Amino acid sequence: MPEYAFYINSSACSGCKTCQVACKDKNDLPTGVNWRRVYEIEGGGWKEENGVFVSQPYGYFLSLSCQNCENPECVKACPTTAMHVNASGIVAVDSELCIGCRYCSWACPYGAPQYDQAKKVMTKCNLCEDYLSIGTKPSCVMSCPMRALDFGTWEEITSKYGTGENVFPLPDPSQYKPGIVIKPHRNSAMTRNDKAYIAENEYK
Amino acid sequence: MDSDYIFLVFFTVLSQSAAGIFILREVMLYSSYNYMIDKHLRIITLLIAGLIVLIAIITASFHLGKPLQAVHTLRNLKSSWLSREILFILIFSGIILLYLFTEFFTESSSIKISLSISGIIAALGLIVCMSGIYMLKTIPVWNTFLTPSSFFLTSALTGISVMFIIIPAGFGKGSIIYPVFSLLMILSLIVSAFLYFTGETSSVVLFITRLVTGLMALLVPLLIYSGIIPNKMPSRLFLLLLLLFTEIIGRCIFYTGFYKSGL
Ligand code: SF4
Ligand code: SF4
Repeated sequence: MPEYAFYINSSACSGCKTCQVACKDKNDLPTGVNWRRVYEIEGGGWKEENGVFVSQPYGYFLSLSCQNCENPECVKACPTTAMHVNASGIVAVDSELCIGCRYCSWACPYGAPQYDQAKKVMTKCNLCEDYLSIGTKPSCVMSCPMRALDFGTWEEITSKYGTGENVFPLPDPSQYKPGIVIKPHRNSAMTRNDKAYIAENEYK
Repeated sequence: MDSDYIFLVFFTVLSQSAAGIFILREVMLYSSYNYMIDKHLRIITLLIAGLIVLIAIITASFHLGKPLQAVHTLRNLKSSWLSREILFILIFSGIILLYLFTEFFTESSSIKISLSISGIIAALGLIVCMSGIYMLKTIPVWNTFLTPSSFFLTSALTGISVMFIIIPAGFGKGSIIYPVFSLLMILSLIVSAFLYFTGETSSVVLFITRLVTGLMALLVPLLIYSGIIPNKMPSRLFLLLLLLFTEIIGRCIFYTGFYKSGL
């Protein structure tokens, strides 16, 4: 099982992106580098019911960063060992070793490694390791006005919230064993029968 | 396609071409075709393969954020295909260099045979590792047999056409090289079509260009074979340039099809 886990209550998330901004602010991230990203998933449309067309659009949000996977594909792929699991069990980048080949970002199924064009190295969420060392939760979790996020060890989070469910557009968790527990939004069930999409990709 | 990928397009096509030239050279040297390659051509073919590998390595470094740190790329041979690819390209280049020295300074056939065998292994290993890099669970269009097929076909086709150019004595009318080339070219077009139709974002313009130039590259050797166009250097050079262009466009289709599952 993974060392740590984030909890996301997708039903409570309003998509305000405060977590994303808090992360950028705490870590001083440049434009285009977002260690935490809030995805808007949309789908639905007009459906015929008893000869009447009814509109059934839906949407929900997923706030995601690095899931600190138990089987981190990024670490396996990295040729320089810059992407590594550090002494605290956190998947981290050693910027002295990183050559900026971006191969880790191809291998990660969650879009977590983010290339910093100015520094010419890969960067990623480090779970606010400095905060963890003083017993504080990561900046994104602390900032969420809806209290939709939580963080802890895998045992703490799963004993509090269970193991959650996998939702669109995340890949099958059995492959990567990500440290994430999701309480799905009620509409996320519809993505199983419907063609849902990530809004920002659709409108690019 | 991310503009940075253009360096990878050239790196992959060039290094696969060098591997193809080397393997074909060795196959010819140790087969009944060895009469076609005299000492002079033995050196020329090695020089060409070596030069192409060198250009490929330089091109790849432009893709890196910090090329001067590239020495660290050998640190994860245990699990990274990228580390393994770098190892194989270094071994392959080293063997070419050594081989070149032996061509000048020794006639020892045992040394040459061992360099030949290890060079073929390094060249094949290079293409296998290169395929491993792209066969990622997160990129379904690359995670199929199409990736190694396309890489091996590039090697074979460019290898044949470079040999075709530099061996003036060979490949006359009736040579087996023409049907082999045509068959590989047809396969290469089929693989490219699969990559286009299974990729999520490939451009139709690239695909049509690939198709038209690919069909021309198929036609030129047939015209040479049937004597309609002369079996002279300009037509051979035209075939090589056409093929390289076709392969580069094909590789652009490969990278344009990049679409990650998940996020
Ligand atoms: S989410 Fe991506 S970057 Fe984070 S550990 Fe998993 S594979 Fe690595
Ligand atoms: S960009 Fe850096 S961390 Fe990522 S695979 Fe390349 S060397 Fe490793």
